[in-house]
Amino acid sequence: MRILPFDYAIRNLGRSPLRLAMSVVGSMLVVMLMIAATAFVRGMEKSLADSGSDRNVILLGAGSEESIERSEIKASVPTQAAASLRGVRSTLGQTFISSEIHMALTVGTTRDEQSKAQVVVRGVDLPAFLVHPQVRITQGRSMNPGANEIIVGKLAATRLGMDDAQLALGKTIWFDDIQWTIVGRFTAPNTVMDAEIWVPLNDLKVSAKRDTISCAVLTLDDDGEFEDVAAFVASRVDLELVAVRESEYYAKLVAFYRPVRVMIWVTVALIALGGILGGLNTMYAAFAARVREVGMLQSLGFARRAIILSFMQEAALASMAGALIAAAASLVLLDGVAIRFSMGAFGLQLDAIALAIGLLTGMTLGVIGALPPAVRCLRLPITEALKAA
Amino acid sequence: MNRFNLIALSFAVIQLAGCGGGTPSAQNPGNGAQLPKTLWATAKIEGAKEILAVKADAKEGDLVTLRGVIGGAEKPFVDGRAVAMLVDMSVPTCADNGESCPTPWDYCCVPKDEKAKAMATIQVVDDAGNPLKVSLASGNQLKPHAVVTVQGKVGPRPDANVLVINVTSIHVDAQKK
Repeated sequence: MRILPFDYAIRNLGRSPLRLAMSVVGSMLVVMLMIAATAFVRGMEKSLADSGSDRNVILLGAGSEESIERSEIKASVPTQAAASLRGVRSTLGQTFISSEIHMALTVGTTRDEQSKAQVVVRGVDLPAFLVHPQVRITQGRSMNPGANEIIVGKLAATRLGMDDAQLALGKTIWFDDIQWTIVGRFTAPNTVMDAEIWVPLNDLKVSAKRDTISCAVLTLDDDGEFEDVAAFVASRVDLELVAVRESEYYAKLVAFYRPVRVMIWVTVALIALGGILGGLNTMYAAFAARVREVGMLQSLGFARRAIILSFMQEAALASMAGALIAAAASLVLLDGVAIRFSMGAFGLQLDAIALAIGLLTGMTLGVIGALPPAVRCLRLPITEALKAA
Repeated sequence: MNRFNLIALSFAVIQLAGCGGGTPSAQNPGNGAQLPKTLWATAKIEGAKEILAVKADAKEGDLVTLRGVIGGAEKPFVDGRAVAMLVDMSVPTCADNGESCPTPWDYCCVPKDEKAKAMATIQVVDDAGNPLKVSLASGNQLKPHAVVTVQGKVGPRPDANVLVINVTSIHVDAQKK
């Protein structure tokens, strides 16, 4: 089969600048939306998946397996677990068991002005930095107990709908009717902790007037096995505990958000369908005006498949140009943008997969958008096509 | 080596590689540990007491015989360890109270404090006193909601609600629905 030269398709693109602009912009919008949706879903999944470690086990209150915030266990559990369990990681005499309180609280810059959104306030001791090695203090220092000091995550301001400057070092915020001073900023990339506020455990116990903790998080050493922790929990019925792998806890949250993800994909699919239909419409009009040209090409000996291929090259070039602009614009405008959700906040994850899906969408738009109009255009016999107006 | 042998060898390698990926489960302990054959009593064990009665006065090291129902949690067996939970016979399940429940052995209708008072833990341990690395449910002899009589020595009791029996003999008396 003799095919039309590639530059024939390129030259044809410039014949109608308005149609070209419409194709490029339409493709760009659809692709950008696709990239944003992929980045959203992947960002949410990654923030939950990376929050849990396979080597970490959470000891929760029985019946609270699905929400650490609802869990309450005795404050003595970490000590009892440390004394009874084999296989818990330890360094220089420090066992990797973290006592933690997780509370969802509203926060304000003054006593009376509280945020509408809640943020997870986590009461911790120093072992928390051992069992959650993702956490790194980026500014200031760690908080000292008894001084109403806190450290805030990079995305905490986003979570609260506040300006980042309001949570700068040295600023004060109010929660639980107490004024707290920010002495440090931390980051825990791609985890829910990135949107949290960390407080000394005892300070939170005092302010919340509770003597229980939410959970104990422990890290297993190389020989440690989850089954030993489960056996400990089964043998200490007095503690009313349940052991959950941290990775499983967050995997369940990923599953919990599945309907949200499905809704996003359905919305994007509908908009992409609208984009395809719009593209089809443009192409039908464009190709209908080129019936005589098609007849001429056929009379010169070009097969119908060669002409269809050329039309598809033309449409794919336009839509891929839009897709490339969309990819570049997304990288500049969307990458890392913080999004608030009920578990905290996460950054849009504009990785290779998101970009690949976007570019593939652009290519699909071009090919699918060109094929039916091109086929329709080629239906006429050559003699009729040559006489077409 | 002909082509057929090469294909067969490839399949064998793939199968061998595939064997290592699974995690130990109740049905597949994975490390070769087995429950002792003498564990399962063929005749009914006489002289059994209820869990609440044993809890009242048992001390570490006592040889006890007690009866109870496998349950107290949605998963009363610990996967990969010879440990299970028992509940006193007097505690009613949701089904006993006329409520529909797919897992009546978890006693979810009973307040947690009351349930803890009526629970005991049974385990089969090795010479070092650690639970065997095999589930008590591995041989399909024990199922949730089974009424069992067990005999064994009482382990440490750090709390009045804790009763761990290192069992040497188990008899399945009945299987509740």
